[in-house]
Amino acid sequence: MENEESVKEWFHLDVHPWVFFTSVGLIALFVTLTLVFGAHVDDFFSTVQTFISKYAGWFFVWTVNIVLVYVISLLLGRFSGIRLGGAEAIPEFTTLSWFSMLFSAGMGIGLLFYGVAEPMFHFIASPLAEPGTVEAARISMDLTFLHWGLHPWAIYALVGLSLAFFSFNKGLPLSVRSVFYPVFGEKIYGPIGNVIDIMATVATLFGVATSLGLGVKQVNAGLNHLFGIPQSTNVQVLLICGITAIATWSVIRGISGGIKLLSQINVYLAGGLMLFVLLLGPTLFIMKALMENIGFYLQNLPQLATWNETYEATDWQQAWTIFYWGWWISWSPFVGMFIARVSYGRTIGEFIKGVLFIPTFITFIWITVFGNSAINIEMFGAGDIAKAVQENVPVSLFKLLEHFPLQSLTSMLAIIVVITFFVTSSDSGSLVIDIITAGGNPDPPMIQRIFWAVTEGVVAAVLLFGGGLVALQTAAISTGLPFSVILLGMCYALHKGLAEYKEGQSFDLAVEDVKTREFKTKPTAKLPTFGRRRFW
Amino acid sequence: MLGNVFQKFSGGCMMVFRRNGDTVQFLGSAFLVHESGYLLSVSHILPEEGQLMVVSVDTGTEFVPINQETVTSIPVKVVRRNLDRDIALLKMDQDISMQMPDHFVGTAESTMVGNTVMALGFAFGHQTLHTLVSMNAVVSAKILSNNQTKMLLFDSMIHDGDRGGPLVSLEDEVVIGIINGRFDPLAASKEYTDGRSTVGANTNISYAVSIDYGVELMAEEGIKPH
Repeated sequence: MENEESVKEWFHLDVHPWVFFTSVGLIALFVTLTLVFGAHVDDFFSTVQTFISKYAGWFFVWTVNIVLVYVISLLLGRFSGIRLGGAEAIPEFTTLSWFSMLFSAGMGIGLLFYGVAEPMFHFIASPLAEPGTVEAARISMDLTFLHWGLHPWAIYALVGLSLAFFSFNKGLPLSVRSVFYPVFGEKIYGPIGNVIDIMATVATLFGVATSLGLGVKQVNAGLNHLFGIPQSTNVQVLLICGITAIATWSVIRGISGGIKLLSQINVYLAGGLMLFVLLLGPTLFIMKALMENIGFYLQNLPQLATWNETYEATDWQQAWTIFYWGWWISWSPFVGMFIARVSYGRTIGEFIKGVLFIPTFITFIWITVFGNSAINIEMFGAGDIAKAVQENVPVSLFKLLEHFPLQSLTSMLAIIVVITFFVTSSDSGSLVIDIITAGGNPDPPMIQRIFWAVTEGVVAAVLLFGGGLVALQTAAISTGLPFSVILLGMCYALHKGLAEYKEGQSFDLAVEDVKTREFKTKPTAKLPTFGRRRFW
Repeated sequence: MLGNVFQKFSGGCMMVFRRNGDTVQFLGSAFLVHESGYLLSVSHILPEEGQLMVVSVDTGTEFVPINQETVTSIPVKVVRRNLDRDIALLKMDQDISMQMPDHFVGTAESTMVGNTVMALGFAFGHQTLHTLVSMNAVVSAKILSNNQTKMLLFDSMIHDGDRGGPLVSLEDEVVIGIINGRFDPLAASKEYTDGRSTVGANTNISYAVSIDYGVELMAEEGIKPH
């Protein structure tokens, strides 16, 4: 019996034919085109991306702020008590493992590199302060906080909440299309829904695969810096194989067995690394900076978040802020879907506190520990980090660690953290694609999980060999524009859905169409009873 | 506040009648729990024999006549009973398409004493007063009866026709109990008291059986609450 079941599980397929096969076809087509046309594809998408940043930048700024305000209003408003999955739903994961998974899927990897690099970039060049000054240090932390703080997490929270609500509370499939039920009604099961799901699938796969491909280059650079391992495609492909193998194992074991476990290990390792830097680095400086950075961020948030470079007429913002907004938005179907999958049983209030404020706070701690350590060295110490960052972003973290004791140990730890972060974003990416292409089945069959986890690695490896990682990453980010329109639609759809859920609901019987008999009613002196109660 | 809750649940409350020749006899209340036409009610108001039917009424914001001389009825059958818990699951004989609120069936387990509830029922149906009456109460106690049945006491005086109606938690807007009767401390006490009570046995406390038994009964039928 048990055998039969497991056999069935292995060979059983559950796909949404349109979404699954069209997505596979499109992915193959894009990869082939990129391999054949190489540089042209790169040129094309960078032109598109530049065009989008230049002409639609203001629109991104509007979108992310509207989303942030809306998400905060949900926390304070009358919907915050609604529980995802119904009033009696019980959370599937403990709060700690929930945070670990949110964080690992949400940003993890980027923070490792940009936690050190980004404040450095802004410190030596930003349109808002004279480079290298005290003011520049303050502004550089503030800008980094802006890019990694409340806005990205608000975007993830909106998408995650919409997906979770429509899936768990309204019984729709766990898929991006479901979010539009209040707008399109039953049409979401037709072509409109398929297009939305296919777009999300393809963007997610390219997003994850290209960052895997580019990421192993960075890991390779780190290994080279540390151990002199040569920077070659072979080493990188080996790394991809290793990461994909672990990710596949994790996806096979499912969320509780694999992804949760890896995320937790991940968070412990990253926490350890951060503690190292905090204790071995400029502890007092960091402790003071954290509070001050947060205060400065909150104080300047309205101004900086709505800044559009209108009067400066520079194009600094396009390369930074707008790039980040497009990036977060293009990742939002993936991260949002993953967040939704693990957030069953939380109330909307808990959800927003857990997805918006806690990760933002942890991110701030991280950026302060790494960024301010670097700034400290730059301002009061040797002052060679900024230069190193400009030359090579991936080694910036290792350059920083060189300044502290126990360098070889911390660098090794850093490499391991980088790899585990890759694994967690790779496995959660595969899981999300699995769910969407399985028509919203939250536990898709085994063989499909393996298929997508492996496809991700293969796409990354092929692009690494043939070139085109940057081109397709740019392509994935340029989906940020259509998705930002979708995000605004989502605010409306979610609000409508919540309002109906909260109070517009009632019973509605179509008795008019049914032939029923009419009877005269007759009073009875006393109500009859049949059988005794057995309570007393 | 309470008005919204009434609007949400009133459409799901129905009168139960038994056909008696060309006339019908009122038996009590019942409420819809599943789109396939399942209703929950109490067992002791429902006979084993005879044609049962349920009747819905208009419950808008309009003033409506207090009685209806003729009613349009939907035939139902008792598909399951739990005599120990005194509840019954009814099913409509006809397929009627219907829409229901999401997650409106809750549990009595997490309900706290002191929470506000609304009791709904056709209190005076047997006197041909076909009006759904809402009452506001607090949960007075959570008790286990002598046969270990989980019950919610609430401080409203229910009437004969209310039996089988839903007890709704105002906080979560979910059904937490099935209204069963008026609480009688003399009947509930294991020891016979000599009746020399100075306050007398009349109380304004009623009781409802935990909805969880209803959910169990539905599970036996292979259905889950909507």
